[in-house]
Amino acid sequence: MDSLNERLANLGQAVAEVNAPDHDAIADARRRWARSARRTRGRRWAFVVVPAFAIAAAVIALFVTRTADDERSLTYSIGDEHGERGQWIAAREPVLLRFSDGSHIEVARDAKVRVAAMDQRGSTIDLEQGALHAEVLHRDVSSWQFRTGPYTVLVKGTRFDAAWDSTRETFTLEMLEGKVQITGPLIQAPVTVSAGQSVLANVAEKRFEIRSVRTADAAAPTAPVVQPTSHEPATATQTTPSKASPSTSNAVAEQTDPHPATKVDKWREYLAARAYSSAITAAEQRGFDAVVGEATSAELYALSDAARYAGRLARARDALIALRARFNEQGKTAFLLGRIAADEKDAAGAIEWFDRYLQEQPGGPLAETATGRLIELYKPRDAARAGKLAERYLAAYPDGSYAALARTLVEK
Amino acid sequence: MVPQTAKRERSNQELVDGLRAGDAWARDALFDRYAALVERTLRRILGRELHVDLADLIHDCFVQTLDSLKRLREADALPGWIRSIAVHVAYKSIRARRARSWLLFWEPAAIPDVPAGEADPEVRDAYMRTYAVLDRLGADDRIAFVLRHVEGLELEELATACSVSLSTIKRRLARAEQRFATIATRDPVLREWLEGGKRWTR
Repeated sequence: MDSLNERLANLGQAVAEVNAPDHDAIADARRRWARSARRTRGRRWAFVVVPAFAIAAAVIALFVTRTADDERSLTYSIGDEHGERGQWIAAREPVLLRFSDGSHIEVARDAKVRVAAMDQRGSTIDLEQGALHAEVLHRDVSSWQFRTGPYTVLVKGTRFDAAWDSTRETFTLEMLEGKVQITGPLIQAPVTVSAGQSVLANVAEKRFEIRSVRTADAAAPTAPVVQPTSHEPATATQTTPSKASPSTSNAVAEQTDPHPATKVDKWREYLAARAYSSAITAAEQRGFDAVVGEATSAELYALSDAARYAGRLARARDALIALRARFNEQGKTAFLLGRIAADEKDAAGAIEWFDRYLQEQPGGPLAETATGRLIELYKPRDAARAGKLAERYLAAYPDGSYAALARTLVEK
Repeated sequence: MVPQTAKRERSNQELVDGLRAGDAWARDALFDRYAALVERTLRRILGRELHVDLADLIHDCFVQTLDSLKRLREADALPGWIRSIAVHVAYKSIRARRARSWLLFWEPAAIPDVPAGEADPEVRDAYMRTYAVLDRLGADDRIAFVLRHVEGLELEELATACSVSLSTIKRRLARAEQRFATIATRDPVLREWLEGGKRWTR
């Protein structure tokens, strides 16, 4: 081996060491594989019947065609459960909807949503109340709609937060990546909103504003303020350049915010508007330690959710640790910390927190999921421990979401 | 009900026979036995790109394996067969991402998501820069480079995985190495790895 090859091999070996296995992806693929097995068995049965009954053939062919269409259509899961088209989801706790094309939606606590329609190109999501964080994977054919209050958001591929408050008739949208088009009242033509911009619409007050926000995730905004008039259809391209210095994020936020609040309360204002990234950024500007030191228990949960939706996992963890330290909030906080650790691929941390949850709330509402996650985590590391957990899981939840995985361990 | 034979390791021939007969245990066994290989092959070729649904690609590989099983002549070739399918799926994913990047609408993040781990920060830095260079290679060259130098395949295995002849893969690999070295030497961190120094001699 010549010296260049040797050095390339050394570099490759180092790269291989950093690039650790993604056990979550394997577990997710396993669940999809198990589901597709059930569908395959269904199709085989159809092939036996078709040649035997000529009259029924047309009906069955229609059925098979429709099934094939359905299979091309997206599917989704609610947490670890299979999701049905048209099913309403009232989220008592934040819920993750994961779609088969890789897109996912985090439904915030107390929100109510429905996956109204799905086809191979995307899905139509109704947000009746509350907030969600969406990450829609862009494909050439993708087409998604989010209907919230009187507004429809058309999406091809993007990342954003949206909320609808039906009591105050307020719609908010914060773009983190990509572009969307919005149609609805108070705007004459579809409005395009891009990363770094947010929308605040109040139907009762007949107000529709596009603001520029500076978030940790978004690209540097141009700081436009658009207030459409009846003579001027609103588009995000009809903006005026900001006079604010792009290097001072506070200046941008203050200039573009038509309703300035005190700096102390800004994170609360953003939180109330479900502008998650902005809320975390504002809390950091205020001093995150100080914020988690003074926030109420409900605000800490909201900060934790907001940080997670914004992809700021360390901040989510800070808020949850503060909940445990200041309010002795046990159980659920341990579970959420386990989930964050798992998202960070910190298997040891995840195991510790899920274990802690089961100690603190052995029969709690998240015990099934915590046990299932532990089985997944232990499986590649400690087969004996995974097997014992699997036995315990099957005894308590024989039809649970992780039952198939548990059986593979018990049967070995 | 546990099949009596489930307690022992089944041969690839039994596994293939079970798959062809549509046995449920065989599907499960196929996944259990080869999921790690498929995941590792995909992950190493693609890096940890944001917005790549690795689970979806893993699932795709197994669906394609099942669909193409009738073309598999030797059961013992199953591991290589599955790896070549994973390589093909990764190739398509790279091509699809590059096609998307021509659209201004939304460019998925090009920077690989570095897993938080116990690795030395310098090595993690090298990891990121390596995948940044790989992003500039053609899909065929990238795959050949990664499978040879990151996955550590022998040339014959590499040729099988890429479904080309030995001479073709040698030419492809030489081209990939040359191109990688040319770009990497412009990077101060990777240059140190390639030109010698404390890192590569560790």
